[in-house]
Amino acid sequence: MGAVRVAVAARRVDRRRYAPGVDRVHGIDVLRFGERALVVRIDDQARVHALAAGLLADLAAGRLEDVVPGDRTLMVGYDGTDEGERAARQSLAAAERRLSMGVTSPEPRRRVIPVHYGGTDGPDLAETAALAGCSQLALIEGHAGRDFTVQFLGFAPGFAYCGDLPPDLVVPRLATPRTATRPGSVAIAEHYTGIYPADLPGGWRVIGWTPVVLFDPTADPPTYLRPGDTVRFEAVEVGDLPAAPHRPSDWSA
Amino acid sequence: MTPAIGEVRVIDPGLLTTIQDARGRPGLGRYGIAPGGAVDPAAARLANRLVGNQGGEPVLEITLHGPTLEWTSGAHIGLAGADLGGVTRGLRLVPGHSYRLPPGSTLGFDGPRSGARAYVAVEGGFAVAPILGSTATDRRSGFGGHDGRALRVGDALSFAVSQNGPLRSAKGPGEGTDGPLQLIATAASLGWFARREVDRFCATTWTVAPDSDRNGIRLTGVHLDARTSGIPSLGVPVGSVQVPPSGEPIVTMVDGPVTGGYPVIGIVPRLDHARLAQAAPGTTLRFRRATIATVRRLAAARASASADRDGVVLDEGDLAAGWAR
Repeated sequence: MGAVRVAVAARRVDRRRYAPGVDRVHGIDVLRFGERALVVRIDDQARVHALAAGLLADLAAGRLEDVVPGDRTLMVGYDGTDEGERAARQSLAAAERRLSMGVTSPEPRRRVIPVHYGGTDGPDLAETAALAGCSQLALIEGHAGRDFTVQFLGFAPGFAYCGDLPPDLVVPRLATPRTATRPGSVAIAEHYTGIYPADLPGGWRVIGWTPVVLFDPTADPPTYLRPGDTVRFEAVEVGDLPAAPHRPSDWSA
Repeated sequence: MTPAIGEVRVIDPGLLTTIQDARGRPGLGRYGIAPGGAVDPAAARLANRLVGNQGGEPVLEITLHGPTLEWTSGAHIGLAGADLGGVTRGLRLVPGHSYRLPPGSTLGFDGPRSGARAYVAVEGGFAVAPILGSTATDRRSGFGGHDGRALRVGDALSFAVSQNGPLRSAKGPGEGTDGPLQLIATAASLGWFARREVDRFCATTWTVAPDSDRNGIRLTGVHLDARTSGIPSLGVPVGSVQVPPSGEPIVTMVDGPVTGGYPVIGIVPRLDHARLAQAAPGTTLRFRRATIATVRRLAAARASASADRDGVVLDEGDLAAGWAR
């Protein structure tokens, strides 16, 4: 009993020293993350996307410096001043208020990604299926023809973390990451699936390949997949795929 | 009359020489795009101002072991940031000055004296097309700068020739200090680290590891214990000190991934990023806890101090000295 009380008291001291910035803005948890960013924790990923979308006008206006969705988190960057922090908190509160008043966000964009699974296009398919304890066909059927949501981007420009994989397809990453991965490689890791936009090192398990271009710095916007998009992979025969990478016609939609 | 085009040829690219600019590509984190740009943007801006440019023009970012460059048509260049042993025709070139190089001059670097990254600007500015608002090179994704890659032997860069501007110097020394860097600890409510780990981080003398780069500065010293090895991925600002399962921290730099899944023990404020940028492998670093209020006070004081003096002065009496200083 006494020990518990001591532990609680210790945690209180801890909080006072470490977390002076934790507070609630209009019903959401806002934490200070360094001198130029706030982090919002939200349990509902759809709400992360809706809140992020609601902040883009303030980003364009220069009131915010960055709006970065994460996994059940949203990071908001500002200019590092007291005034900038106040403005960022006001932006968050206003966006949250609009959401809670039932201002609906637009329907998610739908993206279809044709994939050739296995063979040299998906060098890890067999081992991944073995790890998941299923046949290669079952793994393909579990991955294709199912709606995923782009949870957030990161790792590299245009790399979209799409989730969630069904629990039976969740396998550990490669023990030894590749030093290079072919652009367009469709891969899975933990509860995510994603597509390598460029030749990058990485430990995700490559199960297929798509010719769809994911990142084009000369396009507006520069990525094909964006937070909140609905993504569906479609299994195709290798002969039905264009051999060269190409930018889909609905890029700017 | 059309302006003449100057040219510089890469005889030897050095360890890593890229086109960067002081702006980079901030505000694109939702696309997975890192801010990039010069790791030490203040030095990149200074190099430009030494030759009368605005500040945001493309510059060469030179890392530790510098290139050998032939300025076939001559140039007026500004040098700032690290002292990497710049030399031309037996003359030592030091950061914080502009120099006039006669046609056919070779600019070399004979080894780092202090710092890690030097910046070379040219009067008129290198001709590089901006992509996503910046001329910076993103090597990981292969775009921006010169073909999205580091410079190689045989590359040629062009610039508008206007070498009539006066030679200039930066007034006084830079902002460098020897004290510990500041660390804004992350909120305890995140539950990633016990208080004693933050204390241990600040009590340790860290060494910058050789595999540090524009993505991150890797520190060796002790192995830190996070309460968890993986966290929900979240946006990680530049300066975030992430602790992977190895326990050896990585300070996120300008090209680092914009979202991360390692616990962050704290964030080095922007005020101290130039010191991170100039920390060569083998450098020792120490950190001390700072509050956001303290950091902002220091930042405001430094901003008003640099507003008092423009920082760059014209050199008098040496125009007659001809090309080089």
